[in-house]
Amino acid sequence: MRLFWVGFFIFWPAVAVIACYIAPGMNWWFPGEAGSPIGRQIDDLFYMILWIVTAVFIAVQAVMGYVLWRASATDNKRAFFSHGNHHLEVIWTIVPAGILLFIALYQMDVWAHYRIQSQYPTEAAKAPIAEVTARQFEWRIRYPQPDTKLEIKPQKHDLYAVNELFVPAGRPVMIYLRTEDVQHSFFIPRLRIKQDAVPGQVIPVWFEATKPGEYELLCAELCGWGHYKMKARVIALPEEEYYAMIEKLEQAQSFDGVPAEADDSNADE
Amino acid sequence: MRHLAVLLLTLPLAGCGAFSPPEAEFVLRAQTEELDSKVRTAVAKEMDETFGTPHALVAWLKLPVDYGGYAGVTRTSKLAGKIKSLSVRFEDDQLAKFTEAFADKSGNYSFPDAGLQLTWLSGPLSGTAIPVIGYNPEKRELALDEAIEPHPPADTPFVLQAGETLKYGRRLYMTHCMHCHGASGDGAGPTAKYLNPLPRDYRLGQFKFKSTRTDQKTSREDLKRIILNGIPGTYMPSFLLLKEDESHAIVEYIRWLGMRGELENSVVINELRLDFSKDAIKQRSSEEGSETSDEINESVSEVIGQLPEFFDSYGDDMAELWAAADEEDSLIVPAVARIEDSLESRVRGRRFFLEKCATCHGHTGRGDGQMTIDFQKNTEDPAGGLYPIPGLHDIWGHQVKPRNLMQGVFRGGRRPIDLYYRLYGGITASKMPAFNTAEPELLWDTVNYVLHIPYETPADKAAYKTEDDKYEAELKAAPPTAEGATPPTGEATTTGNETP
Repeated sequence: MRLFWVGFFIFWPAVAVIACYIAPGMNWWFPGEAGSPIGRQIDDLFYMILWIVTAVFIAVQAVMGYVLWRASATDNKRAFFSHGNHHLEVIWTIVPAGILLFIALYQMDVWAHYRIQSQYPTEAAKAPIAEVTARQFEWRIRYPQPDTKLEIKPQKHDLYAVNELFVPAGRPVMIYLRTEDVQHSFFIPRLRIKQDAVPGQVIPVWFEATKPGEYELLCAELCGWGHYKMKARVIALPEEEYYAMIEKLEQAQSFDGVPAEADDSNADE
Repeated sequence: MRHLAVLLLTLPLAGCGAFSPPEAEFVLRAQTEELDSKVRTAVAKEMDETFGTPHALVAWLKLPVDYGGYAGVTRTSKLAGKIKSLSVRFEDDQLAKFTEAFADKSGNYSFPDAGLQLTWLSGPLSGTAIPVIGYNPEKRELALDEAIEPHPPADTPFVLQAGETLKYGRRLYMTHCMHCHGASGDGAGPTAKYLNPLPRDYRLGQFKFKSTRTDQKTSREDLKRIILNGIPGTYMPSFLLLKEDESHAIVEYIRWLGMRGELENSVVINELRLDFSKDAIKQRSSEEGSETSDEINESVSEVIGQLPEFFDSYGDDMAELWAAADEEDSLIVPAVARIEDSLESRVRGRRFFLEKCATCHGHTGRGDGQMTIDFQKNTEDPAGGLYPIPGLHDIWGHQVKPRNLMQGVFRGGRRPIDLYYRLYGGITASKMPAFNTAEPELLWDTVNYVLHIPYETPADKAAYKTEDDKYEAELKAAPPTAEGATPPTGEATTTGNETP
């Protein structure tokens, strides 16, 4: 019976550790490979913390197994009461504090790189590519006219789109994030980007999609009954295709309903 | 412990029963509910037979709706014996659709486990359905799950997976649209009461933002555009991430709901309301020289007998209109390309705006024209009374605000052509008149002016002021004609095509 209970309390943590160990390979739970350099840095932090937690978890379970084993021995030894033991208290205050302090200092670079204005990638910060306005329950997008700068105030020749954000792949880009109504959150899981949109604020957000492709854009802040609908796509294109796409958007937006041939004949006259 | 386990097991089950949503149903219009109970029941029955319920849709082939499925006819005339395969012929377009849906790259057809449903449209088995489990493209034969007897004669029409698109549309509509637009398309879904403007009620068959001519229905393209782009300035969000076949199915379902409501409305308003509403019946029997109850009963049975005929003839007219909306010549195509956006063009456009648009949209385009504070005549009211609240009203009887053009938010789209559609075609369902007799160049000038309103500079304003002064000076110089000159900022000037 003694062996059973000790085994029982050691078995479950062992299962948990094994499951976590094989999970990434089996595509369970873990977020998969990040699609951007900063995403990989964020993942590194995540896995580092996961390792620390795992080590602590295993140690705690092992001690617990040992204690169970010892305490259930039948040699009639008196129990040792540690309550109020000054040394022990100091140890288990200092050790976790040290670990937390280490994590706090270790992650500062990544955090600063992502969120501190002076650390923003210069090129991206100089020319934000679009303004993304969250709204119940969609993402409205405003690009500046090609070859002009994005202004906070809408300009006459701005280009408008909805639920589809084109970005150039392979370099950092910046957007201005705002909301028209309540609080929303701009979340691109594969790029590990999540930023709340706060009413009354224009928040610069930068990110980078390394490879061309389609990335899911979700709202990550419960924003009303239609929150689940608030889904869009970010399409990263090679530089040239990106400019071609913006040009196409400009043409579509200035369409005057006259078929191209008719346009030509008018021009001839 | 055992009790707890039982309790835990039953709780989720009980939850399902107690909190399951109410069954979706098609509701009748308020005007139908006001009919004499016998007539109302007959209309409800006729509606059920023509359109079905949300759970058992009926495809009325008269309507120009793509119900989905793959139509074909039988080829052989062999009539004797039990057969397990059918020789059939598909039209090319149907076969292409069918192949795309079910064939793999090497040309082998595979169907879902339950097979496809083949519905006979005529012949001895008309209306019945049988499962089909395979198709042999060389022999052009459908394999049946069970032998049938007798074999339908040659050229018997059938549909595989009849109504597939409509059913798919219904499912998607219930997921994405029903919250606001309601199961019947009456714009009264559970969340509708929190919204301003209200969600569209499809049941008049009218939609505001269309590219077709004034008196025409909305086209499939228009509806799709609205679904994909949403309507900025309202609560209609964009559904851009829908796949092609999904948006097609939703568009067909919405058109079908629109036609359903429109037909009910036409029959009730034009044929029944006047003589057979509860009030009318009461009046007919109570007035001096009134009809006897026998006479009234007789007329009621007579009109009930006529109902299928009404549905048929109104259905024909309506089907024709809806089909026409997708014809090429229904689309508004400007006679000239857009006039280049310049100050001169905008000055001309502004003059047109002040003459035609300012009564509603205000002199500076802020949507605060005189008409927004006047009481308007209620066109729906047979007695011709006024609406209880001031301002313009749309055909749904709701107060409608002329757009504040300073905001630069255009519900029907912000391309120049979208604004041209609004000017040329008007917005039939609200009070926006159609200016289709104006010179197209002048309309483009107006489009240029309107698009520029949020971005006016002091230079623009100075130019506008100069033009105003010049215009007024000209007015003073030229003595008013018998009809009276048009004051620059006065009363509404109605053109022939402007609706009151």
